[in-house]
Amino acid sequence: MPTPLPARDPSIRRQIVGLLIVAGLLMVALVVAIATRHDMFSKKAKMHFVTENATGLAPGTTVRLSGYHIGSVSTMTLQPDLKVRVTLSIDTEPFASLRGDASAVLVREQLRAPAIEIRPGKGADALAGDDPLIAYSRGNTLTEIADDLRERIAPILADVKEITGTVRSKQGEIAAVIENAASATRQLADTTQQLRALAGEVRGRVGTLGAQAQGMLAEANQAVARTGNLVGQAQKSLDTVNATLPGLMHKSSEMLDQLNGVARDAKTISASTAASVPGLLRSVTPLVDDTRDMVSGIKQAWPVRSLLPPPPSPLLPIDSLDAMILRDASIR
Amino acid sequence: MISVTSRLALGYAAMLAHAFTRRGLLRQDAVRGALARQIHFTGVQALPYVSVVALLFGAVVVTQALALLGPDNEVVLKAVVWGGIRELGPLVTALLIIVRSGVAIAAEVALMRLRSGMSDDLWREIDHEEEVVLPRVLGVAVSAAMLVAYFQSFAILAALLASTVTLGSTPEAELEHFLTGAVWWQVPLSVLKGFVFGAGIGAISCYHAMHIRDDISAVPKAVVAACIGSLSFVIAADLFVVLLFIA
Repeated sequence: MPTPLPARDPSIRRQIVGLLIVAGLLMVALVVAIATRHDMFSKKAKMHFVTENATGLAPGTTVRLSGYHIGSVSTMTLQPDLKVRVTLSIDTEPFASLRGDASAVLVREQLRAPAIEIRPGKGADALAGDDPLIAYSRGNTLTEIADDLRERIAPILADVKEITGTVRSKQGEIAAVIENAASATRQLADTTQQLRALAGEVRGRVGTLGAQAQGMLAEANQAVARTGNLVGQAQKSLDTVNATLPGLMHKSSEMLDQLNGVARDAKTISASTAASVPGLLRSVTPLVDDTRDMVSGIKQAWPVRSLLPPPPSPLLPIDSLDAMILRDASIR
Repeated sequence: MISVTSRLALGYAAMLAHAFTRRGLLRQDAVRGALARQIHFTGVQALPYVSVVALLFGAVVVTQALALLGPDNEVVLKAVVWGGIRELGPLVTALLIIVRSGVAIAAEVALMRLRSGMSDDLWREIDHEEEVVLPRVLGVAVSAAMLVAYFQSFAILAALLASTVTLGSTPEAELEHFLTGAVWWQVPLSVLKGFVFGAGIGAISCYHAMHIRDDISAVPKAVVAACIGSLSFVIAADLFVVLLFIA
């Protein structure tokens, strides 16, 4: 008995057809879901921008508003002026909120796919019309930043290379210059050391002077203090003098009056004396001579002569010009 | 080497053209029955294996992408969309068909050719080689397209679940991200790739089986040649599609 062919089994045929239908439905559902998500079955609003460089843009590139997906790039067209016209297809609801100065910025973040970020603008007028034109700018990528840096650094590196080559070609001169510089540096070091020593010495002297000046100032302060005391004492003395001077003046005046009286009396006495003194003086001289004779006789008389010490030998004056000595009677 | 490659390429193309030009044979019940058997063997019976591989594939792609690129939904789901749907999905499905059905077709047809004239319960109604090639080429092609559709569905499902669990988000949010990153024409394109891969695998397997010497020891060589030829065709065709889209 032969084995029945599988194809002859109706259940197998139904199984095949069922699986094929399910597979087809799965694919259709997937396509419809993707198309619905991309708003292929909904009404879209269009706007466009024109750029000289559409690098990073492609049909299907995501369009975002505040980071939220609102549409995609629908078409890109190269114009006769070699600029690219990029048409964006976005939802009608966010389109209504865009202003007249709305703009588009290409955003590229590392491994993420590039996307267009719409800035709604702040103008008074709404973005109106069919397929309106908006501004467009590009954010710099790492490559562009690197290129910019390279363009800036390349001339500097060329200059450095040139300088390095020049230095290499004049290495002998530079060695001499360096030797001179080293020598100068050593001398400079010596000079610096000397200056440092000088500065130290000056510092010491200045310190000493300072100390001395400080002492002098202290002494001056003390002198001033003393002077102050003296002034105070003088002030007191002056005050005392001021206090006693009127009395003294008064007393002096009285004394002068008394002196005037005395002088008048003395004048009177001298006048009377002048009349009697000459006769008196004339009678004194014989008296004195007699007295001298008497004393000499006594001295020479024995026992008095033995009781008296011998007279001292007269001394000669040291200087004959000394009038005081010549006038001194005792020396003679 | 070049001459051998050219000869094989011409032979594969001739086998495909042979099957396409004999499409009128589908009106015969025997050929339709053979086609149904081939779809049953290649598509229906392989569905559990393909489903398991697809689930593992989707989960692994997402977790590996998250591990490599960090918790960036957009990049990860882009990798799943582009890698899972358009490129790796059809490719992995084709490899499974080669391993499972391509070698079987080559061995079966080679033995049929060697034992032609012998009474066989399964193939006794087939008298001409056209009736052998057409149902196998078309059956593998339809089965491959169907398996790619299931592979995509299961891989996307597993990827969404894995990203949901890994990132701690919701399935709705992950599905939203996936649908945003996907492009609708990738789906029919991948199914078309699966169909072309299947047709090529069937044609190549039949070619090497139909051209064996009358010796039983040539059967393993035909199976190996069919396997290698199918692998080369799938990789070359996939590369061609990639280059076509890059250009």
